[in-house]
Amino acid sequence: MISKLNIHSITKTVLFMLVFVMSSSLVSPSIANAADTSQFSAENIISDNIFTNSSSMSVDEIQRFLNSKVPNCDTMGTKRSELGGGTRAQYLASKGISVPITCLKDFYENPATKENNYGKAIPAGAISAAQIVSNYAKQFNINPQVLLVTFQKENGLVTDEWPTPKQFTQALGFGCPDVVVSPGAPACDPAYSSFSSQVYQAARYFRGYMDNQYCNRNWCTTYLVGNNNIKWQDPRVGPNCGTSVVNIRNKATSALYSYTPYRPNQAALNAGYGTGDGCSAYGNRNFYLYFSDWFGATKDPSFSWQVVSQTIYDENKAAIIPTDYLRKGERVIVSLKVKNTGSEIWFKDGPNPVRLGIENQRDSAGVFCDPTWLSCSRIGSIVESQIAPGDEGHFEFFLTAPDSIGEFRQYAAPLLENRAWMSNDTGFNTYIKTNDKYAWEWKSYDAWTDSTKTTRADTNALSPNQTIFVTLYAKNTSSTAWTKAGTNPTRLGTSHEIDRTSQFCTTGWISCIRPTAMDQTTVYPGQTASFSFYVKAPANKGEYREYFQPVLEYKAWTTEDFNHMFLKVI
Amino acid sequence: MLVTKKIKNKKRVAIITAVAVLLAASPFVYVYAFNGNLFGWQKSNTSQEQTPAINYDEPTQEQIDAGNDAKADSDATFDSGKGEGDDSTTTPLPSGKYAAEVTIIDSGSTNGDGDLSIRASVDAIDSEGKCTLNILTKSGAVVVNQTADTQAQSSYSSCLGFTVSKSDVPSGTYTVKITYSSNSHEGSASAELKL
Repeated sequence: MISKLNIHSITKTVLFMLVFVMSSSLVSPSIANAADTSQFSAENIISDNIFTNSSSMSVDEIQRFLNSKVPNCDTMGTKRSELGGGTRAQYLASKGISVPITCLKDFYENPATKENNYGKAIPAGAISAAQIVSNYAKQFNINPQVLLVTFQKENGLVTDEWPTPKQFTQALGFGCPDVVVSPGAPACDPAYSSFSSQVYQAARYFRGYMDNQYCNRNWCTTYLVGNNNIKWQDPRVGPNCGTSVVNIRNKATSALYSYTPYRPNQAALNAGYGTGDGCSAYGNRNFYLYFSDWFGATKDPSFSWQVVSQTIYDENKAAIIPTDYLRKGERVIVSLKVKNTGSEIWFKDGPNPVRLGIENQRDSAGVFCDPTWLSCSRIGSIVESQIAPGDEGHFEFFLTAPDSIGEFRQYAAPLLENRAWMSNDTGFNTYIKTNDKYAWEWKSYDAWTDSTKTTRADTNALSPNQTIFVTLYAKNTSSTAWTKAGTNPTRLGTSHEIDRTSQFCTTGWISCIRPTAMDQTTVYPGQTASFSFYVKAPANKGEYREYFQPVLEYKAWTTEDFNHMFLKVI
Repeated sequence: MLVTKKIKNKKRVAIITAVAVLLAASPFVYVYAFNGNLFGWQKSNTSQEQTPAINYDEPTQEQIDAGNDAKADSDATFDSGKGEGDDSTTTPLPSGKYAAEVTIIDSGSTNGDGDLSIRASVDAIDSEGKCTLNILTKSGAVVVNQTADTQAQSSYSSCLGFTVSKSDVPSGTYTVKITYSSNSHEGSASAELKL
């Protein structure tokens, strides 16, 4: 029998599990780390996508956020004033302001009448600051987080536990010159001296900058995408520090500079939230810092790459192969040096390891598939444990040439497994020609009167039956070392047709189809071999051509070459 | 009756337990599936982005201090209704006007029509202010003269669009001069233009 008590126990357990599951899936992770100004880019402060994400926060979320930033509003100004003058209430009284103080989280205003509840009851028709922010963010399709951060960087309003009325009427600094020089002139344009007007105008101008990327007789977005001279700071509040050229990359960054026309210098960036030097301005730095600390990255994660270099080694990685010619079925090692040009770190392991995958057709089986690959559509992972943005790293992998003669091209691109590809169109590609012969390259030949090599012979003016000594140079562009001795000695053979009896044959040749063996003991891939032997000019006057190419005896010929030795008998 | 109740109780327990197990397992099934382990597919060419987190932590002291800094910067008046200009540090120019800082942001890039686009800002907000563009040769001859109104921005003004036909300015080196003048402010700035 199951008692009521037992049922309650089970129900409690289920409820606990439900709460556990729901809480573990719904609670947002907090942003633990302070923003890193080393990631600040003057050219790209925030992405267009994030800047215009008007649905990033609901009204309730905005309100909850404002509540969290002022846990205790000093409504009666009882705490000691940080600006001197006794308590905060006493300090404010000296400025003609009486308590109670109203903080942003508790602020209400009627956007039509501009009446608000600072120090008094909520007027009819008033809506909360959170609602005002949400309304205008939606109306102008601007991220409400942009407006919240602008409150803070202009007037510290978000975190202030004893704000003054002026901080509300100048909440976003709209219509407020940085320096007011005319005596008696208002610090800010009275037309915008209400909280709702400030939010409305800021959101409206941000939208204007986003939509109107031009400066003509009707509208001027001051700082456009492209090159702009931007001041380091206002020369009237410090030394004249001049300007620098900023190549603004997107409309959102253009909007930020058009709103706050200064670029933070390195001293400002080095200082975090602190003070830089005489040429430091802080508006756009603080925008970046507050946004990053409160709402996360200012830029969409981007994953992109560049090929820096590609090197092909032989199977043992003993030598670089200076060609794309491989024997059919031959294995080589490819070292692909790449640069992380995106915004995120690449990891070798973890949930999204960076790998090289077959591209075009994506995820198809690669034509150079090797048993060491992860699969025939996944060539391998990065060599390094991680590659930071801007750094270079490697993929290193085997390729197996197809077991047939032909020309093959394989496209590949890095990807974050389970997340995204990093294709640049169709990625990079490797082009390989296969043959059943070894690759080589005809370089040149020299001729002397004899093997002492003291006197040059003129191969265009030989006497009938004259014997000369020649050295032919051939570069090993295959992936296999050539050896003089052993089971497959590398020799020079007659070609076109191969193993044809040479008309230049003379004493000293191995046979009339094999002038000689290679001079060197071993010639590795990329090195040049020489073949030295006597040649006998034909008996009759005339012009003669002879074709030679290296052969790995008893194994394979090298690839065909149409260069030839030329002799003229006069 | 007692038998029926027992059966009903057993059914309730079984259903509740099943629901609990399903709910508890669902996140793991979800993660497993989206890693491609369950269905064998690979997500391609899309970014699996996380919802940006909102920081609901209490502010740091330096963030709180930002509000006090703002109050200190505008300490003198608050909303007392008096004039708010900082009249203690600025002296009028001989003309009786106050200096306005003019910045040439673009001294003549080529726009989409092949014309020259010149942009400038003024650190003053005067509704009646005017900008004047002069392009001068090395000898000081004026080859272009234009006037434009200003547009008030958040904390400054910008000259409303100078566009110069390239045919008006032959190849060479010029001085671009922007002059600003209003009832209360004046200022100018120059930059070199090479064509």
